[in-house]
Amino acid sequence: MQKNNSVIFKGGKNGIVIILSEYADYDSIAESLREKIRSSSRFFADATTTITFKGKQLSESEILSLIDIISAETNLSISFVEDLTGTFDIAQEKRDEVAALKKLKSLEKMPTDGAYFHKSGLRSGQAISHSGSVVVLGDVNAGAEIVAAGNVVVFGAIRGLVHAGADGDDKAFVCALSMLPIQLRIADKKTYFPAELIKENKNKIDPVYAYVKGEEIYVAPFTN
Amino acid sequence: MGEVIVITSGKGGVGKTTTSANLGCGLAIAGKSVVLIDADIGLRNLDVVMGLENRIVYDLVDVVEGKCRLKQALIKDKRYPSLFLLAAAQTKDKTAVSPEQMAKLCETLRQEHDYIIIDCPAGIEQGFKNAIAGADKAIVVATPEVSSVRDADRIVGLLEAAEIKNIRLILNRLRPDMIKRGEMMTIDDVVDILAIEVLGLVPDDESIVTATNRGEPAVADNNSRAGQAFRNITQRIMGNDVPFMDLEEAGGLMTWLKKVFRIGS
Repeated sequence: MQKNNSVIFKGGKNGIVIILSEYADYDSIAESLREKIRSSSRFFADATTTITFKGKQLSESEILSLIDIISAETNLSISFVEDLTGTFDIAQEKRDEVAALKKLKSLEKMPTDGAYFHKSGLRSGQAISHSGSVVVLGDVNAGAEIVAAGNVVVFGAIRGLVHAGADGDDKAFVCALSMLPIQLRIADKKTYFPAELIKENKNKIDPVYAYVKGEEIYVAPFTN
Repeated sequence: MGEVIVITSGKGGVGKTTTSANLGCGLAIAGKSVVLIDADIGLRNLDVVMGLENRIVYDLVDVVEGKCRLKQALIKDKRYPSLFLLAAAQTKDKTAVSPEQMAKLCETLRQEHDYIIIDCPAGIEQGFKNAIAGADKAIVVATPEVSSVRDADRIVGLLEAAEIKNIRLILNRLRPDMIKRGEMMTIDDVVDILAIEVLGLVPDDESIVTATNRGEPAVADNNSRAGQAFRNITQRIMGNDVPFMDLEEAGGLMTWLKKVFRIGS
């Protein structure tokens, strides 16, 4: 039956890879996924794993629904979702960006325990140091510091020093409504923002996120 | 019950003492009973700016040490009968007073006066902690320079941590010509960073220097543009809504010509 082949599971070195058939529609993919998980739920024990989707391109909400199915049927704790679906004729650069963005978008599916919420901005001289992710609702001004082992999300402007993945996790990211830091660090990488660039962008709200690729920190617009 | 307002900035030399003197005089001119406290123990100069240096007998440290009664240490201003100065001690240092003593002093003074204005020393150490201890409102003075704004931001953070909720900004020494040329931070730049209410904008004005040296605060000088700015701020402190003055106006012949011919507008 075609239905049974519309989803294939594979154990990758970084967790579970789920390959979606190019020829099946979303409903049959969802059904097939549920069936396969049920029939092999013992295989999925209650481990922590990452999930990578490959093959047919699905919308973001469809991907999230598939994750919902997985969470409903298993005790798996999903630490990370990577979406590598879609056709391969887009330029590599663009695809990396989209993938990184989709990682961010699936944030709500990631464990949030240990994240620190700061309900105002940070002024000069104020600092947050945390062993998980940090979310700040306000500006991080020059002279303020955030050091987080996880990700840093700032609902405002970053003008101060932010260090994400401070324990060496180069998958950590930083996002902000306005990225104007004097210096930005992710894991052991750091980058400077030229004064001219900061001056040029100081009054703009331009949501971006920064991530590590290779040996560099990249900053990409938060648009989709 | 009077209001206790601390005038602070973090950075030195941005105009805290000048602002304190002008607001004290401005409020007194408006008929309010005002006490100015110089909290800069060891580096006092509010008395000099006020032209009252020669009348000091007892100071702040004498009061908290019980060497005199509070009333004896309050120096009555020579121009405005409802204005008093409590001078700092020059031969002691900041540790001569504790925050608790300052809070108690402010509490006593506010029973009999409308406004207690505290001139805070620069820095964030003991002197700062003393100065804000009894305050329920704060005015942060900053000039449109990166270093001043950075320090002001630090101060606002400390004031918030000390649970002083009413924090307003006076932006001092503005140069409209430099702002226009993009050589000075704009008002918006500063407000974007500090995110506090603007209480007043004071243009850079040479008459402040001469007024300070004479011990005659500019607020009483009707020809001074900075004086006008301080008069407006005085009104706002008293709760009156006054529009911000046009910093461009009365520039000189060129400004007048530009106005007539509408050049560059």
